[in-house]
Amino acid sequence: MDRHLLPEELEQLLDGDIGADIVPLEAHVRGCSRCQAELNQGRRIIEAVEHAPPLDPSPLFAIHVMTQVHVRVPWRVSARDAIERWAERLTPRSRPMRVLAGAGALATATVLSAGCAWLLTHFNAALFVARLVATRVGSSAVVVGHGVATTLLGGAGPQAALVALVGALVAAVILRSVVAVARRQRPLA
Amino acid sequence: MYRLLELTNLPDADVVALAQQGREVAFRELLRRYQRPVFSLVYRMVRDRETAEELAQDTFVKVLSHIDQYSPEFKLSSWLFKIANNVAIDHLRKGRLATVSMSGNPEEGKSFDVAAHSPSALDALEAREIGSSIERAIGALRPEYRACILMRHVEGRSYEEIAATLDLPMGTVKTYIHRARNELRKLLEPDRKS
Repeated sequence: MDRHLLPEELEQLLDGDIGADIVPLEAHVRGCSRCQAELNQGRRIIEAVEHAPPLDPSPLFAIHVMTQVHVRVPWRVSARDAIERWAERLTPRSRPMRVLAGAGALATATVLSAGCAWLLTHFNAALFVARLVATRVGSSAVVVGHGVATTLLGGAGPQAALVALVGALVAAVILRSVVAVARRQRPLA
Repeated sequence: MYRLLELTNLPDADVVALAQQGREVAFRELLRRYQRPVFSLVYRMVRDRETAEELAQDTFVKVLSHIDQYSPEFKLSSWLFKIANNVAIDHLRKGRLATVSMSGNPEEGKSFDVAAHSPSALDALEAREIGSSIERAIGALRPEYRACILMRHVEGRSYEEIAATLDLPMGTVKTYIHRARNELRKLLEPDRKS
């Protein structure tokens, strides 16, 4: 190379680029004191910027931020936390009580397992009983619901109640979709 | 329940997931990790400590208030720095007030300068923090160059990350950084010679 390095060629060396086009540049720098001096100056500047000390905000910075942020807890997380706190309160502290609680849980599990085993061995009988109960409960629910709707809304009550229920479900689905789309589109900054 | 110490070794994505569940300790961990680099960037951009505190707080309030919208396919740090840079650039643009001559002569228009005031303890602190020759040289760069060179050589981001964070083509980022280095060289040349 019979010329000095161009500024963009020096920048390539400072960036640490590698490749076939870098080899002649490096070779030139090795033999040219002026380009070597320019390269060293560039490296010193980069080092100075890299070693610029970090700057700390005030000690109350985090507190000021947290007072302005509203922490939203999703309902399912609140429910889970409540169940965990409840389970923690119910768990006995002393070892003898934990042993007793464990024995009780084992006994309950044994009874339930025996019940399930009986059901499996007497499947037809269990199915018959389940169908009978479901039919009776279902019939009673329809009769009670029909009576309530007729009392409250008159002759066309049951139909109106059904239409209102379907309408409310559809509205809830549409509203949820609209809210989800609006949230995705809201600009942050 | 989580404690702050237990979150120290978790990756950002996991801490964000906890923050999205409303865990306040996760919010504090994100603040602990990024308050210094974000504040450093904003302070070096706007060159005023009080303003930098406010703008850095605004950055975190925006990010943490919308943490439920964060998508883990992007780096949290890129999102943070993007907002911090935008907030700083917006402030610098608003701060460039121009006065117009009463006679309407455009050549008499000049930039508005804040009147000099006697130095305070805050000024002394700022002078110590950003008064060195390299800091003054960085402060003299154009805001676009300044942001790129700070992210490259102070935060150690790659060109690709800077391009993604600032929404710039990679070629533009390289050009800005090369020009910034050139300008720093010229600005620091008198110091070197003396």
